[in-house]
This record gives sequence, structure tokens and C-alpha cells, in this order.
Amino acid sequence: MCSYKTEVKKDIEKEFIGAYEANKNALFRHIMFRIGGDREKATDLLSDTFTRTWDALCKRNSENKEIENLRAYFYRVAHNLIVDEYGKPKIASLDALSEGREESDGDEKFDVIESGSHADVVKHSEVSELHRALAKLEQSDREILVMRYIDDIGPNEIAEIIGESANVISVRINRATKALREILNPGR
Amino acid sequence: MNENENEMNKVFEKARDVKMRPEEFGKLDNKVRAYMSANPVPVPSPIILPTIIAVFAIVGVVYFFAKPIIPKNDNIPPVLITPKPNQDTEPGGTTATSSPIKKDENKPEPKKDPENIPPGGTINTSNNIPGTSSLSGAL
Repeated sequence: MCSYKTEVKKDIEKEFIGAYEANKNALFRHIMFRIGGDREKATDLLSDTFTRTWDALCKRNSENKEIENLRAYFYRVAHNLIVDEYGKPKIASLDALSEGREESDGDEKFDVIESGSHADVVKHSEVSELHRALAKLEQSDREILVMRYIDDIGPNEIAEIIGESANVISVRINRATKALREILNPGR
Repeated sequence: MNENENEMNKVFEKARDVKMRPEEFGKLDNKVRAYMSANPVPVPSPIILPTIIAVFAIVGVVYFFAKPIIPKNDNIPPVLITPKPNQDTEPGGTTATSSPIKKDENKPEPKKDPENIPPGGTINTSNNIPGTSSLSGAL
């Protein structure tokens, strides 16, 4: 009986640790881009995401239920935490938006510089530019684009995470892409 | 659609290189693993289900054997059945408490013994109209 318990425990722990190791970096990136580059806050939200998922996994196990798609569940929990924390859309002043000063303090937070070479510096500035452009989007558009193009999640899985139909998600991706293009290449 | 996707993939390509710092990984790992060890998986005991089944089985067996031992109560008074309108009742007669005895059609009717004919007349058994007296010659 003892070995049975140990085996079940080990299976669940193994499943969770595997999913945690596989997704922690992507989830960190996801949260970072959604909340505007606050690394410390992103780490806190990420640990909350994992601990809440662990609780849910334990609870469901005691009810003989399972979480079918652990990755989608992580994203759903992260999404809910972000909405709880940053639910209300941030109102940025028009001056700040036009001058591109908004979130400028977050530029240094996106670590892509590895060797300090010219390529890395260019990469860093491109990421910063993208971050600024994303910050100008509505939160719902930003979330869709981050999931689709940074996390590389398909429309069906995004639909599962957000709780909308796949068609609605496809429409939203198109709309958000258009909005981002307008910001990156104004007047084109 | 594909052009859009390609363009966006190019735009976001660099963003995919954003990484966690080692100290952030360490902090996260410590927090998550500490939480996991503080809140271990509650495993339902495998003895619960067999115990429930055993209890039901015992209760079932006890009920099965106990049922015939219950003594019958013979002192229960007979239940009177209220006569239905089409049932044969005679004024002042008794109420039928059981189903009427059916005549055995295969059984021949006993012949009347001429010696038992009451004095003063004979009983007409052929034209037996209900509700009328058939004693011929008695008047």
C-alpha cells in the first residue's frame, strides 16, 4: 500500500516537474511581455502560476480527476493572475505615447545581450522597440499576439486558454496584427 | 495570411530570445520546490473502496438470512372485502369474503332424488328465472 502511494506521488511529481521545466522560460517571457517588462513581478507571478497549478493538480488527484493539458493550464492560470493584477487597461498619456517614453524604463529589463557584440545590441534595441509597440496596444490584442507569435501557440490552444472559440481567436489575431503593423510602420 | 504570419514571425523572432537570469531561475526553483514539499500530493487510500464494498456485502448477507426468521403474526384479523356492485349478494345474507366457487363444468350435476322432493310440489330446475319463485303447485 505504501509503495502504491509512493508511486502515485512520484508520477504526479514527475509529470508536474517535467511540465514546469519545459514551460518555465516561455511562461516567464509571456508574463514579461504582457506586464511591461517588470522582471521581479514576472518571477513572482510565475511562481504563483506554478504553485496554484500544483494545488489544482493535488486537488484533482484527490478527486480522481486529471488536468489534460498542463501547458494550457499554466497559461490559463498565468492569464488569470495577470488579469487580476493588471485587469484595468493602463491609461497612458498622449504625450508619453507620442514621445515613446512610455515603459522606457523597461528597456534594460529584456536580457538578450549575451556577448555584447554589435548583433546583440541591435537585437536588444529591436526587442525594446517591439516592447514599446506592444505597450501601445490594447491588453487583449497584446495578449493574443504574445501567445501567437512569442509563445508560438496555435489558435485552437489559445481558444482553450482564453475560453473563446477558435474563430473568434483568429479574427482577434488578424485585428491585433493590423494594429501592431500600424504602430510599427505608421502610414504604410 | 501566410505573408502576415511570416512578417509577424520575423518581428517577434528576437523577442523569443528573452531569457530568465540564473538568479531568477534559482529563486523560482527554490520557491516552487519548497511549496511542493510543503504541500505533498494527497493520495486517496486504496483501502477505502474495498472497505465500503465489504460493509455493503455484510449488511446484505445479514438482511438476507434475518428475513425468514421474523415470526408471522397469525392474529391479524381477516380483511373484509367490500362487495362490488355486480357481486351476488342477498339481502340479509353474508358478504362474500372470497372469490365465488366456480362450478366444474365437466362434473355432471347430481340427479335429484325423487324421494327428497318436498311435499306439496316439485322444484322446477329448468326455468330458473332469478328473482321469481319457481315452486309450481305450491300455491
